[in-house]
Amino acid sequence: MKRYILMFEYDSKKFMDVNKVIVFKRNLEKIEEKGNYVNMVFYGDATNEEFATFMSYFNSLVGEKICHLSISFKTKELVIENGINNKSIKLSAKNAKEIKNKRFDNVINEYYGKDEENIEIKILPTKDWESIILDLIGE
Amino acid sequence: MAIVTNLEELMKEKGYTLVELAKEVGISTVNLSNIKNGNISAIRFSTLDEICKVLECEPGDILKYKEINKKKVIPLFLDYSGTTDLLLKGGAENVKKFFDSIIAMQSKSNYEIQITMITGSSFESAKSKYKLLNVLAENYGLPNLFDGVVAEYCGFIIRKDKSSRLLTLDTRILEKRAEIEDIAEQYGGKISPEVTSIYNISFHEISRTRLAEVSEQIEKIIDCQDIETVTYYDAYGKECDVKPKKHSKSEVVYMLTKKLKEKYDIPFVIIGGDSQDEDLKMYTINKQRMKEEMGLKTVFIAPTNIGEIANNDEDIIIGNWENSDGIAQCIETLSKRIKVREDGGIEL
Repeated sequence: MKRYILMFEYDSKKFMDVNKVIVFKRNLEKIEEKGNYVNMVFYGDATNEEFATFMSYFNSLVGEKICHLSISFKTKELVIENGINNKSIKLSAKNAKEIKNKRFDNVINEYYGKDEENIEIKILPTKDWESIILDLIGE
Repeated sequence: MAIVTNLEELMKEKGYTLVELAKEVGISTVNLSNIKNGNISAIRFSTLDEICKVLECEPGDILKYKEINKKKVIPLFLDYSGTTDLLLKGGAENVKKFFDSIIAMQSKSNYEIQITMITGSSFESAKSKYKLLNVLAENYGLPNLFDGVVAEYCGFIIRKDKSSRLLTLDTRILEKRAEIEDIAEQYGGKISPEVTSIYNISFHEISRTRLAEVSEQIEKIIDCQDIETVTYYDAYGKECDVKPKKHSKSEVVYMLTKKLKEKYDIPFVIIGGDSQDEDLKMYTINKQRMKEEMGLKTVFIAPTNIGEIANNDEDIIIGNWENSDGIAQCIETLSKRIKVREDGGIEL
């Protein structure tokens, strides 16, 4: 059993797509059937408000709280899923510097807990995001 | 339909330049250019008389009546939390079903559906909602579905190209501006340069929950019950009327419909929401006056059960409240009621 934290660069055009989300849900079920957990984390230049709304919409479309947080390069804050309301934490100077270079390990581990075993953080491309997750189980 | 000018052709025919004709008629080149290009809403008889004299023609040679086909649009006003939020919560399949019902209705009627959402969110949140819903619809092949979002408490309408001030300026609130600013500051926010009515004071950087607290405090310093006159501003920031204070959401629907009616060929108006109080008022307050003043039928759709009232009015359509696809069901029911006339128009 593994918890995959999948990191995607935020692109509303690619992720706000009903047909792609439907394909993604089918693929997600296959991964969960094998006893794995998947969480998604988005990072990019959007505002906290936009990330908050996006996470709420995306989770609704998928039908489960798959996305708990986003990282705003614009505000250097960690935006936490809280419905459409905006809840955020300022990143430390060290973490803010790291995320610039797309190093997310510290931020993610601080949120999900260092002690949790079998966490695997993967930075994935946004192209064909709905199907790319099948790579996790070798399909 | 419109009055158009034929001045350009006449000038060519008679060999006049704009400058020469303006000089002979005795008006400025700019004014004559505006007449030539049709950028006028009226023309003086004396000016028309002079132009006819110089060009040796009849007024009918200059002004023509031309029928212009307006874009066919069905406006759909949706309360955000009662419909759109509910729709999204039903998941991607539910949204797909809704979009399909819209496409089917558009295809049957040959009219384009344009949604205006009404939300109590802050300006920034409403802007994000609008952006993402637009992307969702665009990706499904419906790029014009979401026409705008009204941020009700802020008094703004957000559209693709711009955001405009929407509602109301109350002089009595203006008198208390300094005190209102103090309250806003206490809550870490600020108000926009123009303070509007109690329901439409434009606050920034204050969440909706706290906005309610702020409003409560403001209600204490100004007696809201006594506010009798409100100056209304249209979606383009232009002052348009002074009226007694009315239900905010209903006024938004009324004013926007008036604007849309000028621009588009509208067969009827759809209003949607899930609350018997706030949302249904948008329909009950407007039904009669939209019919009398604009000749428009209004229907109300509710994706959930809104109670007994719906049983006595055939223009209220209720979706199956046990399922989350209630709004798509409403659109499908409405679609079945549409009758296409021989002239291409539609009716319910």
